[in-house]
Amino acid sequence: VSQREGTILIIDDDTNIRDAMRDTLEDEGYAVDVASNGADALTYLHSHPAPSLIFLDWNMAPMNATQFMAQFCKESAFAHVPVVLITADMKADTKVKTSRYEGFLRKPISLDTLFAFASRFAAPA
Amino acid sequence: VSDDYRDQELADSIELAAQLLRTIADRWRFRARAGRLGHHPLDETLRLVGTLEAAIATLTDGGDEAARNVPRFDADEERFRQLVDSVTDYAIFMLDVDGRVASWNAGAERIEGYRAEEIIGKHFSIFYPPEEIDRAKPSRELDVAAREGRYIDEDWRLRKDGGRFWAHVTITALRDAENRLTGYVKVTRDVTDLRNATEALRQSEERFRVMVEAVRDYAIFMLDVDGHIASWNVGAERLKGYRSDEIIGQHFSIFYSDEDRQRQHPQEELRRAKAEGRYEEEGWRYRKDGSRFWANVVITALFDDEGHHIGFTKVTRDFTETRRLREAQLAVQVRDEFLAIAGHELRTPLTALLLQINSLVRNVPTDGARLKQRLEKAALAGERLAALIGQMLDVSRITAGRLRLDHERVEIDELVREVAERFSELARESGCALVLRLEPVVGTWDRVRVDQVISNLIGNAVKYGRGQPVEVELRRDGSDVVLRVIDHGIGISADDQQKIFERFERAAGTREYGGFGLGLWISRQIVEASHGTIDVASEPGRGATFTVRLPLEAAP
Repeated sequence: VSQREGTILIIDDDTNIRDAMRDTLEDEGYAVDVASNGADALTYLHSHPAPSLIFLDWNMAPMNATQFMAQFCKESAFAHVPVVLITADMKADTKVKTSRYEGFLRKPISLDTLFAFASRFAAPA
Repeated sequence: VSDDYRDQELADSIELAAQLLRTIADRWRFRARAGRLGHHPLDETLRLVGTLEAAIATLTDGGDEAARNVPRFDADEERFRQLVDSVTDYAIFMLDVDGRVASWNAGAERIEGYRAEEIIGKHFSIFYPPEEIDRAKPSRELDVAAREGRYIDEDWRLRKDGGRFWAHVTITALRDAENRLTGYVKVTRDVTDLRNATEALRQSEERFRVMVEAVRDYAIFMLDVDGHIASWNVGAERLKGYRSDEIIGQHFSIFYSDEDRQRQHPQEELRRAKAEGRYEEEGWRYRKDGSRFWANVVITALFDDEGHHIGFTKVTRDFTETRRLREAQLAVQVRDEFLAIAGHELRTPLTALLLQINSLVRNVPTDGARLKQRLEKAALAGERLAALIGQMLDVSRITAGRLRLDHERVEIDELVREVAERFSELARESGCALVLRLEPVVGTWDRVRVDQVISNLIGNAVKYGRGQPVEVELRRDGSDVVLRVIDHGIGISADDQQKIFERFERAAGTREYGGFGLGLWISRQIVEASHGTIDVASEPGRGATFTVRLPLEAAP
């Protein structure tokens, strides 16, 4: 596991969560971009350099996390991009264990966990 | 000569015809008395025989005097006597003109109980109960038989042993060729069993009628084909307020609203009941006093044996309470759905809010101590709100039956230590020393849910046991683990101990201690879903001990 150059991509359909995470991470010196659902995120990924880390909300429309991952995993260009799931589910561990997620952020999001993931995978700009 | 000859020939023919008829009559009589005439009632058969005999008499009256002396079929007479004697289902005997017994058969002995030698010569009133003798019934019967040829009766008669039986009696007057009364034939049948069966049926019908009339919780009444009320029970009086004498004969649309009457709804109900056999609905109906109730109504069309429509039965029940209950249940369901949706919706912006505040706390400049302190307080308030929303979601999950347990290996002593660590700061603020006495125990439970139970109990102990130590004990007991959380705080009264595990119940006042009062209810649901128990021992002012017992292997 190594820190990588590049922006952190936050994919969440809730504006408040998206903004709060972006503000928080930017205050820590990270470059951050946002997408409001899975489909948006795929468009972004195809027109930008690969991000250093993706925070992915579980429950979104029109394309939820599972549907997004199905597309995302098909493209070899993204094979090395780590993905962290954001979820309110108490049983997030089971979701994470059975897929390629690096881990999960449980709502309400703890700053310590958020920063732990960021500093593990991404380098501040 | 020829005329004489022809007269003689006519007389011979008449005599021959008479003989034939006599033979037929005798044979019929034999067969009738022996019970071999199929379903023809004996009386009817004997009447036919009587008609034949009358025909014979007419024929022979006009014929030669000698014709009357033609030898009778003596052999048949003898056989007839033997047959009558051997019949056991009917008492068949002769009375003389004064009513004294002149002959006796086996049936008579069986039914009446007398042997021939003790009864022959006795007056037949011996078979009658004393009160009938007082009313001169025996002699009246003979008078009727003598006047009209026959007397038929059903009534009580006496056996020799004094026992009564229900008798079907036919008395037929016997007359000779000159129409002089020569005596009577009396045929008696014991129809007590038949009468009992009929009586039982009648009583059963009567009981049913009485029962229907006495039913209080259902209005049960009948309508004629046009919908006029034909019967009324206690339940109907109770439910609708009308007495039977004021309602019978009225049209049943009187129970309906004006609108229902205007749109001919009562008639429509009858039409459908008649067409489909049965009609059921619920709707508002009106009492005599004008008040309304929510009625469940079943109308059943009645048809007689030939299929003719003869009316309706109507059963009406007061469903006002049931309807209210259904509405209340629906309201509860709506509330629970709302709680689930509201919980999810509230949590998302709260997550963003907390993230913003906590992030701000980090970025407060070093000289902004007061700002930092206030932001931390805002974050605490937000966290409390998040915990309440979490409880709300748990409740809606549990009431909807969506509490799902995921079992895994748990070192529960370590889990208790973790929770205690989480509460260490709060405990310090409350002045509670957290004393842990933990045995190492491993089992299979839902880690998150067990964490929740432990947190709830330690959280309560710290909240209500302010300023006193809180002890947490964990030990293995056979195939169970037992957790005890002991505080030395305000305690719980015996009455409240019953209630605290219910929803929205709390022993302490809402003002001093916050929360929904849901924590222990949720804990109980989790413990019970894990096949365990939770209970409390306490005295007011002397603290409380909560004990949770969980099987080591909670998985089903």
